[in-house]
Amino acid sequence: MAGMGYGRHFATGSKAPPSPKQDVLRVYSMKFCPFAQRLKLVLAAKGVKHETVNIDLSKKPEWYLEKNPRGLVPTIEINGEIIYESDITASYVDAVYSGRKLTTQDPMKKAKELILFGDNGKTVAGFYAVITSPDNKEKQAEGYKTLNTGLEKLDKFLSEEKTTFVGGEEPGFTDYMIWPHLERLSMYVGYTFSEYPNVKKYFDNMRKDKAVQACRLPNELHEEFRASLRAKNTCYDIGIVEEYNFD
Amino acid sequence: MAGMGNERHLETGSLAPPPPGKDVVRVYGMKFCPYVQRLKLVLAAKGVKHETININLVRKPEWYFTKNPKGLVPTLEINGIYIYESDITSAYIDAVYPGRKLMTEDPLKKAKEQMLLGDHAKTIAFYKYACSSDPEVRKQGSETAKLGLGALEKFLKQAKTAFVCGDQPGFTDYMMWPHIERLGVFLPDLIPTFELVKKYFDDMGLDSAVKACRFSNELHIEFFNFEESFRAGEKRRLYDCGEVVEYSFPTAK
Ligand SMILES: N[C@@H](CCC(=O)N[C@@H](CS)C(=O)NCC(=O)O)C(=O)O
Ligand SMILES: N[C@@H](CCC(=O)N[C@@H](CS)C(=O)NCC(=O)O)C(=O)O
Repeated sequence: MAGMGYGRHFATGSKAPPSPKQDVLRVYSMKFCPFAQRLKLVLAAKGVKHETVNIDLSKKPEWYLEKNPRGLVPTIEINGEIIYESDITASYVDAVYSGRKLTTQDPMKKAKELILFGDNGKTVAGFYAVITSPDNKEKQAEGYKTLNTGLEKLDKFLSEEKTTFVGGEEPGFTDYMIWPHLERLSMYVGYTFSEYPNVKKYFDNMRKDKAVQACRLPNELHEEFRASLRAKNTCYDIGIVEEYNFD
Repeated sequence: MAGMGNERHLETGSLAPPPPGKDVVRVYGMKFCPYVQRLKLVLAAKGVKHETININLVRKPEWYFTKNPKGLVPTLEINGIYIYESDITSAYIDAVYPGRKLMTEDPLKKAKEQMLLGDHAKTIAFYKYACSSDPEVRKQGSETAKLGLGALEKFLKQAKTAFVCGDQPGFTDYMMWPHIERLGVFLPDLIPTFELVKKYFDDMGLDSAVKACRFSNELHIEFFNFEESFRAGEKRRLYDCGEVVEYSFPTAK
């Protein structure tokens, strides 16, 4: 399993990599991006082979905006087609590739998971409010309030469905969509989920999942990355760095 | 086809309606809500029978929050189960009920339509601006809508089909239409500046589901003017605008 991908991050002025070969799935990513991680988790869980091209988001290559006008990662490229947005790309991959189907086929269950994924937006928004305002107590408190409303919904969902994971007895599509920000809540701010017993248990179970383990980078590396972000000198190429070989 | 539903809007202090009969599809709506219209279009296109209960959104009935904790419309109720959010309810209906399948089964096509729906958020944003009395802000709204329509124009050009979903309107067309209909009312000069969007607008107008769920420009404007005065602090809002139908069950205590 390829995990998050160790390729060097392409920056402004770089030459665009050649197009991927026939039927090769390419992911444009950034090693520490939680949205890219959603897609990487789905790829790992299904065992889908792919190549990764990492993008320096603080100095985006000009050619990248031609691939994705929004300039965000993740983007996928396959046989000349471009798809972006984490949930859309992940859902495409789940539909097209063999391996375990991660999305439920039951319309009612699917609707419930989609509502939960909407509520997860609060967890994500609260998380960013908390980590981007380390010195602002008021904003922090508000951030925690927001993310707690999201976690409350997750706790309720798990207690009502009485399953180990949102997707059932194995992690499914929605689990992989919500995981990256839960992982960072624990890693970045030491959040313990102690107020939400079902989420806490869920968190511990998710940590044991193979795909989750394959896509996890060490805490220290995340720390180093965040320190460089704070110093406004973002370093993406830390830890293992691999050079590309496109032939 | 039931269209948008002219049922009276129930408000604070009203009695909760009795639960729907077995297998009956009930929609909690608001007559002029573009998100409710998405779901109504899907129901109309598939010919799914349903009943409508309208909600006064500035004086929400207490009981409505037990149906939808967010307090938004639309909400679906079927056999004791509640689903909300326009796109989620619509997808549920499309998956479960017979009739024409509105959502494509082709993963690539689906992904492209979903990306377009993301760009459509810009077209939706115009509505917020359109409500402003400040001409500068309104201009900003029109600039934002241009970006959304530009994405639609590009999509139609690449797809080479009359509709986003193909030769017939499909799921994504019905998700996009309600705000495009309103754009046609409130910024009528904008759509004709996009060649394919203009044609699309006219073609969508011929669709029978669109026709069934469409209001005249006059009614849109009548409702909007009340909304504007509401925003200006007049604290009234005319939900029961146009024709009004009463319920067959008691609604007053
Ligand atoms: N809605 C997007 C969000 C992706 C996103 O925000 N990615 C970040 C990196 S974690 C990014 O590309 N940032 C670059 C930028 O904001 O310019 C998705 O779900 O894929
Ligand atoms: N994301 C929701 C939005 C629905 C929505 O905003 N509906 C409006 C009426 S057009 C509403 O219920 N407003 C009541 C409120 O904001 O309290 C959906 O897609 O269903």
